[in-house]
Amino acid sequence: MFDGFLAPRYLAWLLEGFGVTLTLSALTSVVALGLGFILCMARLSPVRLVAAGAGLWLSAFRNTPLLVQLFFWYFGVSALLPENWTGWLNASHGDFAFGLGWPSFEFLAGFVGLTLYSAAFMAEEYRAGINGVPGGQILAGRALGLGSGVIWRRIILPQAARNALPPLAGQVMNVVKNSSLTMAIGLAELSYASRQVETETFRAFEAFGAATLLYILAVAAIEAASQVLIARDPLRRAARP
Amino acid sequence: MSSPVISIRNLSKRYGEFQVLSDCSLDVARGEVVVVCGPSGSGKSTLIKTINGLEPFQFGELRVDGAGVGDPGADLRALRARVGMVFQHFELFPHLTVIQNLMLAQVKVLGRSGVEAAERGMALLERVGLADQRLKRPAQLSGGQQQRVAIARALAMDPVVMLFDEPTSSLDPEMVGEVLDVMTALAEGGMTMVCVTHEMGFARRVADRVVFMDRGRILDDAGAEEFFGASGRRSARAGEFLSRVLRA
Amino acid sequence: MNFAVISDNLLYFMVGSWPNGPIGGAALTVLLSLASALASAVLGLALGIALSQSKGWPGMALRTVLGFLRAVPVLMLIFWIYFLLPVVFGLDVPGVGAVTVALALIGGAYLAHAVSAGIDSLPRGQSEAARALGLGRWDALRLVILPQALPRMAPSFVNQWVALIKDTSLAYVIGVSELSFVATQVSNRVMVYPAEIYLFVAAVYYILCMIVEVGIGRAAARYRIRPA
Repeated sequence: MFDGFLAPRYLAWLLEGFGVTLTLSALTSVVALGLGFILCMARLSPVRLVAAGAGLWLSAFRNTPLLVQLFFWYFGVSALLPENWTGWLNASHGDFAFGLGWPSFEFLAGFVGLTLYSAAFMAEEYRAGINGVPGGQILAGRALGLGSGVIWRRIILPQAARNALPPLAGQVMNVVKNSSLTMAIGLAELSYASRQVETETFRAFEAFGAATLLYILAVAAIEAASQVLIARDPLRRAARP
Repeated sequence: MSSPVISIRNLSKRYGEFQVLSDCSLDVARGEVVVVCGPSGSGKSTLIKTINGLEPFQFGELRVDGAGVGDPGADLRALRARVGMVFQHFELFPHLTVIQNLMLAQVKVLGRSGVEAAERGMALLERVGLADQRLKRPAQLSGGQQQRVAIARALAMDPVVMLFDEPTSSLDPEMVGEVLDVMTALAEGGMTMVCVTHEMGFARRVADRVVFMDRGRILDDAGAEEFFGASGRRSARAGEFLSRVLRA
Repeated sequence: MNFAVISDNLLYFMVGSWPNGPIGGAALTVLLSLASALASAVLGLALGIALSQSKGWPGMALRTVLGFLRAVPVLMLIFWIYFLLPVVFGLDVPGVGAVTVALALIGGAYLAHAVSAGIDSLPRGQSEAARALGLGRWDALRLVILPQALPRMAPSFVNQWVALIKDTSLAYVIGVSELSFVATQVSNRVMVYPAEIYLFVAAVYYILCMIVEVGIGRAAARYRIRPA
């Protein structure tokens, strides 16, 4: 509707920004889902030191603002790293993959910060999913003579995964929303682009409107995808009378 | 002849596609004890919940103590103050003490003063044998005790009729007796009662009439002696049901 | 790492340029958090009750609005309020106000969802028993449902308030001198100690969040009502 009022070059900025948002969110989600699981296993480890360490890590990343974490990775770490490292990170190293070009330092710092932050929340969702499996399931497995490895892999995890799917989808949606903070370290993602467009055109409504719409589309798409996954779950079909 | 306390005529209710109650008609006279029984899913709980307006219905007529339930202008709150209900899961308010449970509706609905409500509440707790538990919270009482408090809570409103929805189904067997004793005493005192229950022994001893329901319909409506008698003035379904229930 | 930069600027981190200017730093973070926590709690409670009681079109409309607020990045909402409202309504919105309103709206949307879920989590029999005694809908809600439902929702309130404390850092983007903004100011001035500064700032936020999580969380646990 309003986009007709924005000249094509501004629309292009917005779409480029959206592309950065999507790329960052996708990469972050994939890695964070994996890292989150590992952190969850560490948190549940019978080795007290590992569990306590993981607990502290998770607490630290969940109770400090993402913005401050991003500043730490972008400003803080680059100050701590030896000079030739920062030079290497900042330089372009040719094509990365799919002709995307080597990620900028802003992208790298944003990716690291967002991933570590999100992984901590995903770890908690995994933990809640596992705790949501009734304890009787383990007893039943043992009564049948199953070993703990089998019980874990074939009885607990499948049920935990089902429990955790909706909240994890919620966390992926949060990744998309939180990616907006990387504008503060200069990454030209969607929010940054919308602000740039607004500053140049003074068309706040169109600029922010388009960006908001794109965010909502992305979030809605994730919600829809998760609903499809849930609907296709063979267990749900079996449960229907 | 005085008019019945409860008068149900051709009552039907559907829930979406499902016909829950079909063409049910029933009269309950003052002082009568009516037991409603039947297999699960027969609609007996739903029927009893239409009486105090907790469940709406689409067709039919329902009058309770002269008031039409289901009439658009019906004052359901005033009606519910006159109809007492006891639930299968007791439903005491867990955040209030026993005596507070008894006082809440007296004060808020009947407008009694706190003192009056407390006195009435205590009298009823004495009657059900739980006066010393008045300051406890429901979680501290056994199931049987909770249900007796629930009966007292309903009686505190001085109802004209008491409805019981499977009052002993959630109780451990050894506590069923204490609740049935209270209900028996209530019946002998002349209270009009409609009980949905599986306790056929109680029904034989205390009920004036038995109503048998199956799949949303009333199949039998007979005097208790006739219903339980060997000569069996009852439908085939009722006969099957009784033989299964009385097997134990 | 050299943490002297922290002690040198400690007062500035804590209160900004007050008393020679408006309050800032950690103190402003606390004030922003308190204001939006209160506003979002009130909003969340009211909307949550409305959500659980409404059916049909009004319910769907409310659900859609709340869903929208939960799908939008907080940053975008801050932009809308801060940059757009002056254009549309001619109001001059101070940064502090814009952030508080944005956080209150989003926090309120999440809390409305939690309140509604808490109310619905009570067994149906409780509201049936209350109505069977003749209590009206609002009396039943006030005297029977909410006293049981609210303690169940306490963890959601705690989680939301912790998120709020962290989200106040977004005020940085519109130039409000709360803790994150002040930290970047010092870091840009001093230039050579960013890691120390941001670690310190992270620690301050951590302490604030822990106070809420442990302090309020424990208090809420004491008031939990055991079901009968």
